[in-house]
Amino acid sequence: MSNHNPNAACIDIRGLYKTYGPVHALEGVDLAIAPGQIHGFLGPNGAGKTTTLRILMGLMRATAGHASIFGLDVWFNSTRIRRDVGYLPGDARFYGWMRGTAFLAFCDRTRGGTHGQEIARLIECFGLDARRRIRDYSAGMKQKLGLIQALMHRPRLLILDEPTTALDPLVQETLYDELRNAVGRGQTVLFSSHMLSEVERLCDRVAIIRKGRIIEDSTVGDLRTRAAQGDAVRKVEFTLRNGALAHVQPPPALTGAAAGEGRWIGQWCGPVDGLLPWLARMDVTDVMIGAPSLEDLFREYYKDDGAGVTDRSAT
Amino acid sequence: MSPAIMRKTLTDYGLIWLGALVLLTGFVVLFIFATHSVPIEHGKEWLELPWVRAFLKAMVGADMADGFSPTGMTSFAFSHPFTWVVLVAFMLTLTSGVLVGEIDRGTMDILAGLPVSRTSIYTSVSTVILLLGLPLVWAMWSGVAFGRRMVGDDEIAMDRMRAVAWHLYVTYVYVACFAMAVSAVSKRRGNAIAFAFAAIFSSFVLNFLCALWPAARKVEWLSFLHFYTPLPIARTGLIKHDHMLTLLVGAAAWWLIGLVVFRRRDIHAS
Repeated sequence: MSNHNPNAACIDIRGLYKTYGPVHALEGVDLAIAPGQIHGFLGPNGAGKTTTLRILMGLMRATAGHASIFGLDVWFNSTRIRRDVGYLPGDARFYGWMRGTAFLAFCDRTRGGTHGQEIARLIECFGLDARRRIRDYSAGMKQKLGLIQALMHRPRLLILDEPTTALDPLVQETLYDELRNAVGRGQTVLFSSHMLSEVERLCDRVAIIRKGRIIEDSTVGDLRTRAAQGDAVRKVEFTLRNGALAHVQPPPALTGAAAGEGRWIGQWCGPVDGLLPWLARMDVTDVMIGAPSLEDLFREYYKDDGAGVTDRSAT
Repeated sequence: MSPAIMRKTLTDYGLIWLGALVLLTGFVVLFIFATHSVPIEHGKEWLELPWVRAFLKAMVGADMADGFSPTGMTSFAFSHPFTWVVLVAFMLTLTSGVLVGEIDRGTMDILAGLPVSRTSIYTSVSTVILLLGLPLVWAMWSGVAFGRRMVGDDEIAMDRMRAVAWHLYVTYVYVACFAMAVSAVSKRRGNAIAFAFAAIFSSFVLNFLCALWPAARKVEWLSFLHFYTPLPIARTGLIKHDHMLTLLVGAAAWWLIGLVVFRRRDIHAS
């Protein structure tokens, strides 16, 4: 892939439509992903995440519109593109009769057979017993195997469909580290997820798709700023000297309960400047006010009617 | 073509292929033993029964009673129902397993995520399936040679049986290419097997129907078995080039249809 435009968007999707008979899976998806960043792709079930990713991988052909990776059309140049892409399908299935090592060797052979060292490193890193037959693997082990085959050739672009499914928290951390390192090397990551926590922790940008349209495409910082406005919800914990919670009358925006020994754990709904004067009047020994949660913002986006949500792809 | 996919296909289906090889070889050897142990007069008595004669004619492409010979009798092993059951089962297992089977299982998502074109996947698995047929057919020929030596029957002409084996192989190629096309266009493996089996079985039915009902002969060309006639070949040792050409052209057409559809089709999540 030597003749690509280095300044071009890594992924460029314009007006993408996909219909299955009467069903409109995608209705004009527009999305551009710059190189060297982690881009989260969120949306409720059936919103069109997997369809978009499958079109990008050349598994399906768009009904209308255009999608390109590295400036190359994803349908007509899919084989060429896939040399530089690592793909983990959602609910990845494998050849059960193969051993993990044989499967990875097969994937390696299709990519030139030169990635043995990286495969060995990833097997160790993810703690996979690759000598066993895949049919004996747990769901988590299969997911690790899928991740290793996607990561093993250090591709310029990683497309991962719900990569943390079935992974325990420790392995999730390992994956996050791998993805951060990948981006540090200049690789780009696009992954779909349902876990807002990992999107908040990992992503530079987030695109949200609902009913086949991109309704949000912003940086995580922008989303946080927006979440902090209006009725943002923050986690609040504080401890009162002498544990005198019985005489405390919390303001209406503070909900929660006493947790013993003067501790209060709850949530504050609204601008934080309404909470601080009240806390100042208390005899507080310790206080923690969390960042505004994106949960409510996403919940708005995920609502069926989508009330209050503007289609930002149109702007 | 992708050597990695060819190697994988060989590994995946090697055991089934070996089983088919053993079954076909064993069957031919047993067939030679069985036909040799039955007095030739008994065989001729059977051939005097009109329905037996008609069915055999449908299977081997000529009237066996006209010039009964050990070579002609042996050619029946190359169109015996057992032979077809093994060959068709083998072909359907492979052809449905490599394309629609991968889609149905969901493994095509991983396969199609690798830098291998759909054309390469299709040609790689087709090549393996067609190449695996050669040893199967020649194992049958070797079975004839082995059985002939065991029973000490020098009257079976091996050079003529070689021509029959080639013709069987070309018929194998036709059926395999048809089954590949069905696999390439299908959404579910079960549907692909059912449709391909129904089509192949219909060919057999039509072939028998033509032997019993002259009016059906107007459409006998619809059955691929019309172009596979082992007995006349065994009698003369001459390959029927027109029949082989028809089968090869048909095979190429099915193969191309399968390729075009497979290149363009959507691969849905399983």
